[in-house]
Amino acid sequence: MPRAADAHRPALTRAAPSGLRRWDRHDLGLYVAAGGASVVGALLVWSTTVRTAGNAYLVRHLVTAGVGLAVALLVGRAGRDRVRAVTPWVFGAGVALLLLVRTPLGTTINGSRSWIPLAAGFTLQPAELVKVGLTLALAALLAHRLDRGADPGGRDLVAAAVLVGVPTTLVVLQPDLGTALVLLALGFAVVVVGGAPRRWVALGVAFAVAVGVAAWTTPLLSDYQRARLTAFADPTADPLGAGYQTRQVRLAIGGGGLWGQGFMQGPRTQGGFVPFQLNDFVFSVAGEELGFVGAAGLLLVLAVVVVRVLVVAARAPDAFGRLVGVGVATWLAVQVVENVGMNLALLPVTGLPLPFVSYGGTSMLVSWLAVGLVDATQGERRA
Amino acid sequence: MSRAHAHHGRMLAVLAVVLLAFGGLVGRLGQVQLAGAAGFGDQGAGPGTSLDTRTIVVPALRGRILDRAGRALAENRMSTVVTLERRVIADDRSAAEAEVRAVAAVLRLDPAPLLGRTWLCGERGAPAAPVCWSGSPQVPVPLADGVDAAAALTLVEQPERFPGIAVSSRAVRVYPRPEGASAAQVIGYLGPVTADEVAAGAGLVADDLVGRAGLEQQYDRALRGTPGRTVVAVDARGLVTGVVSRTDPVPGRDLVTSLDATVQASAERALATQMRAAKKRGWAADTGAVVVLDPRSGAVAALASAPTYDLNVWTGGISSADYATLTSARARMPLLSRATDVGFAPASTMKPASVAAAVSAGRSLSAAYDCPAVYRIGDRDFKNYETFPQGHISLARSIEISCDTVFYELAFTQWKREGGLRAASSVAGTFATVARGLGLGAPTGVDLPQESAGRVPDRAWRQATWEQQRGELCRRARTGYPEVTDRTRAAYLQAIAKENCTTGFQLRGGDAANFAIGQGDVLATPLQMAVMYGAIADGGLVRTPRLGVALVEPGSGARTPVAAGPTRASGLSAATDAYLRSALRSVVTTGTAAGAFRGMPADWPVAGKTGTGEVLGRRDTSWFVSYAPADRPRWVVAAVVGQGGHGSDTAAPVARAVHLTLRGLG
Repeated sequence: MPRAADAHRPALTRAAPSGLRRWDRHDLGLYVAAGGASVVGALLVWSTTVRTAGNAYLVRHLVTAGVGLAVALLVGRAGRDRVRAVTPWVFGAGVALLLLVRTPLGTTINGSRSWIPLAAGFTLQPAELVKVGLTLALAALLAHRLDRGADPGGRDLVAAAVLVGVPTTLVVLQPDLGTALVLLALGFAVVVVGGAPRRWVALGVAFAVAVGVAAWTTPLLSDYQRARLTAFADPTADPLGAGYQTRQVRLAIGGGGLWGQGFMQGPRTQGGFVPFQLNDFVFSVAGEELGFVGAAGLLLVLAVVVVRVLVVAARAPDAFGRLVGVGVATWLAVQVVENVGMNLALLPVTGLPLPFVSYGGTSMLVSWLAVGLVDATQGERRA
Repeated sequence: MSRAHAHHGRMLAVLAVVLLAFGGLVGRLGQVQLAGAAGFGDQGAGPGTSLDTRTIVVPALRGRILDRAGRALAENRMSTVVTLERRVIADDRSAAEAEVRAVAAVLRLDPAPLLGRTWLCGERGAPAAPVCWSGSPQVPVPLADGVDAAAALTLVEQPERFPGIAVSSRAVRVYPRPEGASAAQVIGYLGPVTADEVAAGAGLVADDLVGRAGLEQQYDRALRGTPGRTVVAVDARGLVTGVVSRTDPVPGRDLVTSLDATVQASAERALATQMRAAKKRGWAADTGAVVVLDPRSGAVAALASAPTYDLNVWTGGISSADYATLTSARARMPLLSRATDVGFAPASTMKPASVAAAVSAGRSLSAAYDCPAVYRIGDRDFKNYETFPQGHISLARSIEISCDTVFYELAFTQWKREGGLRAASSVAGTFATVARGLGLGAPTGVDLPQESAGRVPDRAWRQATWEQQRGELCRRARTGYPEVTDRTRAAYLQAIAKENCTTGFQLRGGDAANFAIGQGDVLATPLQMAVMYGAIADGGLVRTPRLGVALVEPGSGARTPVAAGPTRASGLSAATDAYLRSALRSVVTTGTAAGAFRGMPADWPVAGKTGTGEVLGRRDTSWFVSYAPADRPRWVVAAVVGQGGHGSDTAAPVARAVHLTLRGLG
């Protein structure tokens, strides 16, 4: 890197906190892609719920998307330094809420103790918030060393492992394997891009493989998780429970063909055959009603979001911004792959929502918050 | 050197992994949707063809049973039911149970039975029936029935707090007893269908109620209407996902009957009053019946039976305690209609038939007949009710004062003429034939599901009974009755068994004599006697009694009359009929019933006949069968009280009270 570039960049970034950025400095592509995914999601959620609930879910989905957009813009305008300043608080709050779920304040839905009921029927899922907290905390930890021109040492890596380990353990206890997977993956990606030595990376991979084997062979998993995992392999094992869900999802997507059954025309979707279709299995609506063209198009939109995040990260003026971007991109990508993968019978069924698309307030807000964070850390582009 | 852009390669690796993963997903999507991967097809069938459906039968509102003035004898009351969608339970049982507890708190009910209802019977962990829900898994579960409607409505006003809760109403059969008329045995009751009936089809489903007695049973099909059918699509958990088709139920038709609540109530009251009075005089007076019918049409205005009970015990399902009470020996079978289901010895009320028989056998209506105190047949003395002889009297007088010995002679003479003991069992006998002609020995054909045929013990009946019982009789003739401790009685019984073993098929002279005065083996229901007196009152025509008048569509008011039963001639000649009518009138003016009808208004002349039946081992059956006005009969009233004493003391006052009510109708 030429020193000249470095010389004038800190001056610009230091100027940022004093005043808000100009509107045209926001990454328009990122907002457009995320907004597009949210609108497609609203249409799909509308299609699965219009028969039973009219437009209520459509409206709520669009309202949360709107709130999410506003939050993203606010965070984006707040700028990198402010975000970095609140990082410890966000991470701390996320972990504290995860602990709160274990207390009587939390509620159990579908076998997982993952929710804190708020007023007026809204619930909060701390596991969603902790993704933000972990991304920021890891980025801050590693950027601190990178900004001083050094790769992280053993002590940094142990600290990073603790940062990843604490929330992941709490999330596994809920149990919420999907989010745990996201936390591990984003942690791994941030640490790797953050400059972890090769042998540490190899050690991490070996550890992950060992944990995977242990999970399968010891009673680490609850019966509920086991049921959902085996249902993915053999839908006939439990035809009335988890296997039923998988079977209906496959029939729905399989019935889509190239062009689909038509919006609001899918017999499985409109017949209400797919349980949890508006959140976990919203992709099957696209599969059945919009066909290969529509579903692949939805994947393309989501891919644009992820790739755009990575592009913004690569252009980030400092290590913090870059690592936040890598964390967010990994997190969104893992959720998309896991969610669509389970819809396509490639991966076990976990309760991970499809970012921007699945119905669910916390997921929508947090996904937009991630966009805001990436936007905030991109700094000023050279004129 | 700043490390801000260090590890650019690792960043590119992340991008590559992401692109690879997304590419993989798109590839898999293509494989699944375009190449038809295994597990994603529907075994060759088109999409959506494997929709599972279930048919929910929606019961129709049951028709009412009305009296002739439109007063409801049986109708429906709407009961408020709070239901819960099964989906709520299936999605999250613990949340659903918390909700049910909250519902119970709002309704101020014990939550335990409501929680029990959230389980389908047979489900793993379900409580035993009847706590669990045994109905269709596709209908919302009824949590509580008969709840306060206002409290129930507060539930549906808070759908966020009580998701899946709905309030509906269910029809419950009630019996309003207009004017205090119960008519319990005639109206009948509803009971749950059996598994066999459900299997036989006819649109019945598991928790349906069908008529199990009386008019509810007889007209069940018309009253029940046509149930509606809703075909719903269900998922593999049996949860309803949509409605495929719907046929609305057609409500049942109202049954208009010829019963008159005023007359029915009057009959029931009179029966109860006189039975109480008889008990005070020392009689058991444990059963009774009143029949009121129109002799010109056979339309039945009242069918009372005692003991009776409150039909409303059946409403919402009878409790086992109530059922035990109803069927206990102490209760004396209140479910049984003494008016139609039980035959009594008709006693002297039989005598008009015997007069007609004697006349048709050639005896003169104008001759005088000896009425001694005792008439001897073979080695047995047949006593008159009165202990002193009446001299030679007319047949009319013999009816009026109820002289038995005149009838012994008439019957015995005819019996000898027919061949006596040597007569073949195929010889019908004039007395039996005439009695059958007047409606005895066969069901009247009334529109009720159950009816006793009574019994006319002619030679053929004796032969059949003997053939049936000979084995036991002959065994007793050999072995005697060692279990009977009284030696004399045991010897007497053995002697009878010996005689019956060899000659039990014979109609003996004494049997014939007993038949003429309605004693011995002859049995008739109060309804049969009413039909017989109706024939006398209405020019000798035997009509089929009818309760049903018309079936009325509740919506349009379209009326379908109930077909009248057949009418036939009794074989009674006009002269005999006129003679009998005048004799029956004098029974009430100067004969055995004169005392009971003293002071009866002159504009309502009653004609009738008392009867005092002697039943082996029991006390006398009190009868009075009558019609009025005597000159232009409009109503037949038959009253009977089992173990009620003399006909003029107990049954006649019952009939008198009913006649006064009938007169009041105008």
